[in-house]
Amino acid sequence: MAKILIIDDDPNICKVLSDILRLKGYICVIAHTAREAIENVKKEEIDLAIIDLKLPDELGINVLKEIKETSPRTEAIILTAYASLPTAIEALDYGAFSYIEKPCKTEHLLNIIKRALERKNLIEEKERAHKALDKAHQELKVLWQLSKEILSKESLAEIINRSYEVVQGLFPDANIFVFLLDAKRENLFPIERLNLPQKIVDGQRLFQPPNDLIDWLSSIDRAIIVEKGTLTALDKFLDPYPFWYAIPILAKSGCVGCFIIAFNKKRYIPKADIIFVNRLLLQIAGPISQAISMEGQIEFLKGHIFGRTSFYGLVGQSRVMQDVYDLIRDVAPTNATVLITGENGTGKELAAMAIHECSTRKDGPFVVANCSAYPSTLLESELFGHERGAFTGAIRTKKGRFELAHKGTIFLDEIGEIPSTTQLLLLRVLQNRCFERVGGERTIEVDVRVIAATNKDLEKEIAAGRFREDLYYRLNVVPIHMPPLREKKEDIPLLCDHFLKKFCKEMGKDIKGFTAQAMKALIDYNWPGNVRELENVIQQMVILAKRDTIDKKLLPTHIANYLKKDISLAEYERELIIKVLKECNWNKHEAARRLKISRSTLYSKMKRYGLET
Amino acid sequence: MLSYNYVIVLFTKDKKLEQHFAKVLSKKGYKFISYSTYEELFEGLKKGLIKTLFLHDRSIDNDSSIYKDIKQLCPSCQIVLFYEKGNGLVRDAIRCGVYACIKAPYSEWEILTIFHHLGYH
Repeated sequence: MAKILIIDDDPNICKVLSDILRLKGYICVIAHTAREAIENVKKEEIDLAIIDLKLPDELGINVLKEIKETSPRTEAIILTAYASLPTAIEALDYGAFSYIEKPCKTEHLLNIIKRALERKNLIEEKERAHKALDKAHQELKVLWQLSKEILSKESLAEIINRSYEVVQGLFPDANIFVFLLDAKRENLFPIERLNLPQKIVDGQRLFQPPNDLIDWLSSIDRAIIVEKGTLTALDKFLDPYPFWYAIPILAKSGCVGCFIIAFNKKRYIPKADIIFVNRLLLQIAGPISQAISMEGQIEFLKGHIFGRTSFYGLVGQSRVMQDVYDLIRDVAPTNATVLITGENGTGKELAAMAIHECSTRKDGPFVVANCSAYPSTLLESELFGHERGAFTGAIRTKKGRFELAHKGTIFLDEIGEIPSTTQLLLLRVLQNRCFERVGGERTIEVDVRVIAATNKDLEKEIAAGRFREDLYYRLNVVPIHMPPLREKKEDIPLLCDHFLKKFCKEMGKDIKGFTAQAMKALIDYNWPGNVRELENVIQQMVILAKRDTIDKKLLPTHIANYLKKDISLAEYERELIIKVLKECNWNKHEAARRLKISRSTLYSKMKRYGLET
Repeated sequence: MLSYNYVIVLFTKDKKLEQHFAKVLSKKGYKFISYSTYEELFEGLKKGLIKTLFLHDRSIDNDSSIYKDIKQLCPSCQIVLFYEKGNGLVRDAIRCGVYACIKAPYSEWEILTIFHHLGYH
């Protein structure tokens, strides 16, 4: 009900007017002096003041001025027996709604009062609407900024951490708990793996066992906000808290987790803030879902690694690398000739060094001879040495690599490149451990262990008549195959960390790791240059990195372009089938089970893609 | 150091190979004996005169037992295999201790280099 202040020094007028107004349902306050009037305005909220122009202590105009200064929303009507144009203009200038001359008809006065109060209500409503609009605008702005900021984060840990900070900022007195479902949405995501602040991780202990929470999260299919007393499944775990809200993180693909805001004391909680959190989580649910999926893939790969992480300079924890380590360890103590095969950059020389280091010859020399580095005319001299005057430029006797490797190991790299004449000489050395220097007659005997390596398919070279078959079998006493990096992708995170540490140390940088997106990109690339290419890429990324994590923006263009390359559904299906078959050692029954297709479907797909064994 | 007085034997039924071998060896003045039957071969091995034996893959049975038999009769005998097609023959030969395998057309330089490696000068 509107409150009207009647300001007049005449008690009779005050009484008559207040009686009329009270009858109309208004609340009336009476002031006979200017001072009294101002005190009333300061003390309580007055909707309308009816002011007499002549007051004993002050002019009515001045009272109007002061009322408008003190309470701008209070409407004012001047009521005077001494009406004049100048005072009327002045009154309207100072914000009076109307200027009425006494005596006036009651109906006329009531009509003006009604209109004045209507205007006041209209203004107030407008102000409220403006405020609400401003607030909504501000909220949207903050939501947009926060979403933008959070979405710029590349790792799940960063996204969760920043979201957590925002929610904690809104409710500083509350305990914020974050729960995420794993990629399969069958279990809670092991949040402790993300290096998040301990307080976030601690929340996981609340729900033990977490089945009820998982069941609830899995069942959510629309944006809802749950509060204490509405869900028994959560109530029993959150019993210590007098009040709480659970806000799901709802992505398009379904619910991926929730934030729980739990209060230790009951207090007024602005609903708008809870709705704000709900909106924020809806905005960032998609990236959270993607990040969980990525973390899942990385963990899947890590789950396929076993045993030793490194072995005499070779880095890798995959099953294939464990087999290589075992083979090296077994063959090293013998004197058997070893043929190491594998693509460029797979670590053939490191494997040869590992054999040498594990052998009884480790105190002897390890001599490397890159057979492709010399023209055929110089290769024999390089391997077996030459006598002074053996050919033009042979100004002194020179020992060859075999002599230098006496009591140690010689590593013949790129053995597939040597010419047939040298192949025959090698055959002799392998058989008798003796040779003559170029231009020499004296037979030199050496005690050397031979390790050869090639990136070529020597059997094809034999078929083409470029490589001696007897030499091949002489060399291939113990074959070791170094797998290409694309066949041991589970080692990529380990190798990345290894090279990151190596180059950080070299360059004096402090880079903590890779974002999940960067790591996924590194895993997805096919690495034709193998570990050596990966090493070069990491070195380049470390050089360019300006932050404490390496993100995918630092990837070289050729890798970024490769990852953008479109892949057809059929290609994807073929690659997936090959991947699963390899993981199952080509056990079709197991592969079909994992792919969730029948065996006959698998067989028909294998036939279609030419994967029959 | 060996001399040409040590007995070099070629075991083949292929006259063309025998002629080719003779031509190559004549350049160094090496002499050799040619056998074409197992009886002749094993008799020679028993006497311990054969130091270097060139076997022609077309003249032997296609299994590796012959190398064991040869080594049993004459452990110091160095065996070199002449072959036309590998097909696992070379792998078995090398594993059974054959010194080298020379593929057809049996290049002169290859035969002579092997002689050199075997100590014939």
